[in-house]
Amino acid sequence: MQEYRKISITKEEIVPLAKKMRGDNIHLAMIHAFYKKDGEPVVSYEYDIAGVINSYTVKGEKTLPSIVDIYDLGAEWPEREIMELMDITFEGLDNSKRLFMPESMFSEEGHILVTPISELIKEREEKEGAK
Amino acid sequence: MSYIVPIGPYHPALEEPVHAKLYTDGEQITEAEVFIGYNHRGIEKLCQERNFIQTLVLVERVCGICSHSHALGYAMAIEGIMHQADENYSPAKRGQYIRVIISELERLHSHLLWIGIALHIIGHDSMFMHTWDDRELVMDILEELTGNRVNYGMVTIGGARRDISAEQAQDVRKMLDKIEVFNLKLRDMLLSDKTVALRTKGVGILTTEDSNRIGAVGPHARASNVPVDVRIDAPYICYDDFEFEKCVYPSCDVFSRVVVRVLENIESIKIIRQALENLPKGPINKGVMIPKVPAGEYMVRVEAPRGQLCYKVNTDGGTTNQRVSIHVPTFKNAPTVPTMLKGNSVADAGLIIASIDPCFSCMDR
Repeated sequence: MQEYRKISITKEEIVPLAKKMRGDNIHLAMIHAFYKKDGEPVVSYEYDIAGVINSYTVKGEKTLPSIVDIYDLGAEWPEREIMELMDITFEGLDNSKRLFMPESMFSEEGHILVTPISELIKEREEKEGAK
Repeated sequence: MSYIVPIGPYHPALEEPVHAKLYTDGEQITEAEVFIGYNHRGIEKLCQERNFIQTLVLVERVCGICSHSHALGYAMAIEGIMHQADENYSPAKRGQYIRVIISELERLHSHLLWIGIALHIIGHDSMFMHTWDDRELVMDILEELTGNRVNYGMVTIGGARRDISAEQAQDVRKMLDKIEVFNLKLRDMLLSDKTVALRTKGVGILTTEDSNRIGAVGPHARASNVPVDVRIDAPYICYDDFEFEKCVYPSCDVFSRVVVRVLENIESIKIIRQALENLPKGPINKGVMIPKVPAGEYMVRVEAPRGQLCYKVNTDGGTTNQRVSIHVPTFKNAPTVPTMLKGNSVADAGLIIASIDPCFSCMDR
């Protein structure tokens, strides 16, 4: 089994941690986010340190600082993806355009990963009806 | 005179949709942007609605080339969660070897496919046809082993779904003998052919520094002299049982990307031979159709043909996934395209975009 460690951090620790990791040439494997059943947002930064994934996790924050200045496009696309698919934003992210879906698809609240499918279908039907 | 040259989204190089905007000064590209999302199917959303076996079937359809890697990544993530709850839980050893064999066959056919496309783009059509001709031998073996050419359905949670018989193993060995001869010839041809050198050397350079900065993965990073390979850096299933090398090449251009892939084919052949030779006896899986998965989270990395494929899964002890995050190699490699395009001519744009071996179906999910 590949090794996996989970470490809790605060929102304020995200940028200093990213700077340290980038300085040590550590690969940012993924930025992962989801909402727990009770509605609490969880965002984790998965760094590959000597073959072990260290998952630095921030809980309960819907607005986080961007690390694009540190990890460049390697962080920009994952941050844009999370902004588009979930209601979690990154302060300082210049390019917040949608990556996957057209701007005209779904209203601002229609974040595809957190909105129930029934509501997404309803919104699409309303749009089609309006045409 | 400066122009904006749009490329795509329809088949800019490969038969997959992506759109690139090239800002040019005469023939030279000064700036570039890449736009994705033409193939988004909401697969991560659908994963939240399905049970673990249904999800396994679904994620295999993220990609038509590295389908096995996706199923493997998801199964490993679920197995990781089960292992966290019970230290004695581990997938069947024979199943693990079968997973390795299919993974490497998949890498072989994927690399042969891409080398063929690269040769076609540079105008070397005779070698393109030879390459795809030999790729068919791999596809035929995959069909013999799995019953299918694309979505193999070989992975289940706890091992493999189908066994490999002694006769099938012999057929694989025969195929490997043929493929090895071809790959050695292909390597020698690529390293010495003037047409290949003129169209690929010094084209689409991604320096080691840029590769590290943007976070490129897989053969694309290894072709920029970055020695990363999940199979060796963080061995999974049973890759630490086999002897093989990381294929790194230092020239950081399209030529380097072609060479790395053909060298990797030769390493894959070595791995498959070792796996067939030492295929353990015993069950191929745990014999449970739909496992009971406890609450937890786990992240795995798999070296898919195009590079590091990440799966992170959250479960809450119920029958469905709470969240499945899929980070594919093209999502890491596509952001390097604007850097590689800068300073090159418009005529080389298609080749440079194709040189990351992009899979937009994977990336858009």
